Amino acid sequence: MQHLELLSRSAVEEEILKSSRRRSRIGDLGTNIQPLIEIVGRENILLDDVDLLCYSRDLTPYSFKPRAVVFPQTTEQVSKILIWANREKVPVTPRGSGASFTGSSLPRENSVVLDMSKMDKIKDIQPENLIAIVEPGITVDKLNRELKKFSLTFPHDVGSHDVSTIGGMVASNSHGHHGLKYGPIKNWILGLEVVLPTGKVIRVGSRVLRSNCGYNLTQLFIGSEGTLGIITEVTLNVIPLPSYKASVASFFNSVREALRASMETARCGVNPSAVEFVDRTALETVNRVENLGFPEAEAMVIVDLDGHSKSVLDEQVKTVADICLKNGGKEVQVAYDEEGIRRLWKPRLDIDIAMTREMPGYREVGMAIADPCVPLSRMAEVIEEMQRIFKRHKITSIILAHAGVGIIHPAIFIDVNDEHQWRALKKAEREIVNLVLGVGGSITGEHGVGIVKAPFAELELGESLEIMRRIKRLLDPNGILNPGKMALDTAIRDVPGHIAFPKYQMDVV
Amino acid sequence: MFLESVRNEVLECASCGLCKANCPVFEDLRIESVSARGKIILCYNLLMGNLKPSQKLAERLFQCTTCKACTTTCLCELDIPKIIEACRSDLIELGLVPRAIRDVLVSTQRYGNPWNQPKRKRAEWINGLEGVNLKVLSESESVGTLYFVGCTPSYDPRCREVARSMVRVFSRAGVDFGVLGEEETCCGGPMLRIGERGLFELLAERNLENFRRHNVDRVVATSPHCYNAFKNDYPLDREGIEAQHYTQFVANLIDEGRISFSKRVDKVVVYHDPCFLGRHNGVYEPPRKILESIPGLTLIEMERARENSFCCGGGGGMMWMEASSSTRPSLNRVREAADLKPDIIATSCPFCLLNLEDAVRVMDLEKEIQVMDVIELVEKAM
Repeated sequence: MQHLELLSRSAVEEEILKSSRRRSRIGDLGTNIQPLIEIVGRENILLDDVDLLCYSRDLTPYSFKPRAVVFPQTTEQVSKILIWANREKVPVTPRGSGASFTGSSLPRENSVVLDMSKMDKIKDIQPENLIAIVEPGITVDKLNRELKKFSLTFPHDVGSHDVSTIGGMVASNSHGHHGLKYGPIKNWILGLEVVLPTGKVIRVGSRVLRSNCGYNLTQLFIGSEGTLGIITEVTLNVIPLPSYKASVASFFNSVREALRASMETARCGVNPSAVEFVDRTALETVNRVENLGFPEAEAMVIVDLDGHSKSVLDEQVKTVADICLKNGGKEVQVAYDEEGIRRLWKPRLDIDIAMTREMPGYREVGMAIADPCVPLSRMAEVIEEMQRIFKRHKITSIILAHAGVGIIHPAIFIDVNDEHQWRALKKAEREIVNLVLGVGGSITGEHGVGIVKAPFAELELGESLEIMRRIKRLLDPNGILNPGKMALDTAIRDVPGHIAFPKYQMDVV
Repeated sequence: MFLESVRNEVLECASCGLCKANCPVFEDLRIESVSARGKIILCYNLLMGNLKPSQKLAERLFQCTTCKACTTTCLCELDIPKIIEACRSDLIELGLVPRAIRDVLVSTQRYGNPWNQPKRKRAEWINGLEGVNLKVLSESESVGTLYFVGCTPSYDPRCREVARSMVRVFSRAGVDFGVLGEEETCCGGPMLRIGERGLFELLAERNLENFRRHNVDRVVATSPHCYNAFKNDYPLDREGIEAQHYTQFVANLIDEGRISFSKRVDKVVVYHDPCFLGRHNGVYEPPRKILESIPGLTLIEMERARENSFCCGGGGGMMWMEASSSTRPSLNRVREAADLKPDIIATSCPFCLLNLEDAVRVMDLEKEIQVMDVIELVEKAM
């Protein structure tokens, strides 16, 4: 517990005071929406409570209703909205598809939500230059459907690829299943058009494959969760569509064997696009519910490979299979076709379906321990310790991992009407944050901070958090952009009156 | 309170938003409150007493085609239409219904069809079938196979052509079948999707009486909506009656050699899966098998096909919603089909046929693309 000395009560009170001061400082939209109507038209503004309530939630337990939802369709409109918001000191929260695990797109402080989904055009695809220029509201799937016509692809994918918008993914620096080979999204972003909180429109980065001119401001905005500017255009690096792909799955008697095989696979030179870990509970549950016929095992490893030569791919498949068998893999299954690959991935992707079938009324909940990253060499011990922690607190959970990069995904399922489960979850959460930081890990390798990890951000960031706060103040002196996120203005996440579940247990500090 | 019966399902929703991926209404309006996640958030707040039922709430809850695309992409595969139907039932009990839906309910109760058409006109589709030996069942006449025409093919001029085509194909295949004529009444399926359970039960009982009186052992429906109701909402198993969609029935006739083709249809055809045939009932192969067996016909597929098919916008009562509060998913669907440059968009549902044909007209593509029912292509090739 030495790593996790949360704020003392007096510090909390100070935070609440600061928070209320900020709220009174921020102007109210009131009934004067005329300026917004003039900018986007009445048909692009939602004000009814029924509509607004639907923007209050994501996978976290929080509930923040916006005061309005506005749909801009041009950069100019975004700029005018921010000029108005900055002048009136009205908080603004940008939103892609609202698929966040962290609360990052929830309108804390009763913000105006800037829904970017109507800015979804592909401005240009330049196959010869391997770039695509898009508006932020386009989803990855729609972009890839168009790129396919040129035999190209944007290789960065996330679990929510059919709804996630490029803008939302850039703002949260998403990672995705195939991040081992294709990296987080930051590796694929060449340039951005950004509207600053003052309304000024700037371009950062470039539209060529390499630029090393000045500070890397592109990377500053990537992962900034909408706190520094609104992304209105993205220049992406795209690549030729791989001609062949394959998945290799293997089953192990222990977590350690599985992770030894994972590490060796990631290092052996075959350049897999994914090396995924699935624990016994997930494998067993999905196997049982979907009748997949996989063998019993403590852990499963799924390796994805892709490329442009079938013979090379075959060799790589053999290399991976040999590594799995050498490290104790009981059985190896290989698939080259979509259906077969989908089957091998089911224990990884269908766990929510299986768990809700077996435990009616339970749901997955996004908390602060959804995506820690640890050194590869410590993964096995961390996963085993996590399993012990969940067992001790009687929490229903499964553990998945992007084993090739060290990101661990515990998925927690609870009955939201059981206060004991919430209390146990909060205790386990603290223990796991300590565990992760104790081995030199990061509390978030993928999803970002948002609201849910705010209390823990300083533990990892230390003094650099203050630098971040200064950058925030420099670009957003009135604090209008996405307040309450990333621990930039408050480390408190549980706000009375803004929790969706009555039995939720507020942080005890 | 019907919503109470789906409390668990409401609680299971993780609010992840994956349900929006293939939602026809969301794709059109982009408003979170028409998405499945939005509606479940509203249902949750109703259950928790944080939200009061209102006309606005009803407007949003009725903006759903119950096409089940959300279930297919849902993180937990929740039966979301079931939640929406339960909530609609509560709203109906409170009298909170969009005007267009109220008119549909009144019409169905009064005339036995949602199109506000008199009962005496129900059999007018038969006109033009001179020379075909069609058995319109009299009071207690028995028949093995009943062709259930459905409301839209009975009244809509375009869909009447489909019903007539069906009868001609069945006759030429030597099928012994009958129709109910003016005695036929709405299957009630769309009423159940709207949430009017009482009206559904009334209609179902009326239809079951007809089936019993005529000793029916198989009901073949034009519409996937009727087929879905018979198969999943009627106690037909108990009655010893089999429900079939006509594509299943016709595919069998082809298998048995009772339908053979003598003409070529040298056209490129893209097939649009109706949601209540495909996603709701898993019937993907029979219509494809029929089309593939037609000489000269080249069958192609849209990327969004089978369980990922994109709804035309006609289910769940939205067929009757006024344009101002309704959407036009069919335009998006025709755009997707047109990209493949087909000669014909084929489908096997009256709602899809009307919506897609309308979209082709609005998009001024009539010269390039024709919209046809599968049975019309069968007849063309016979």
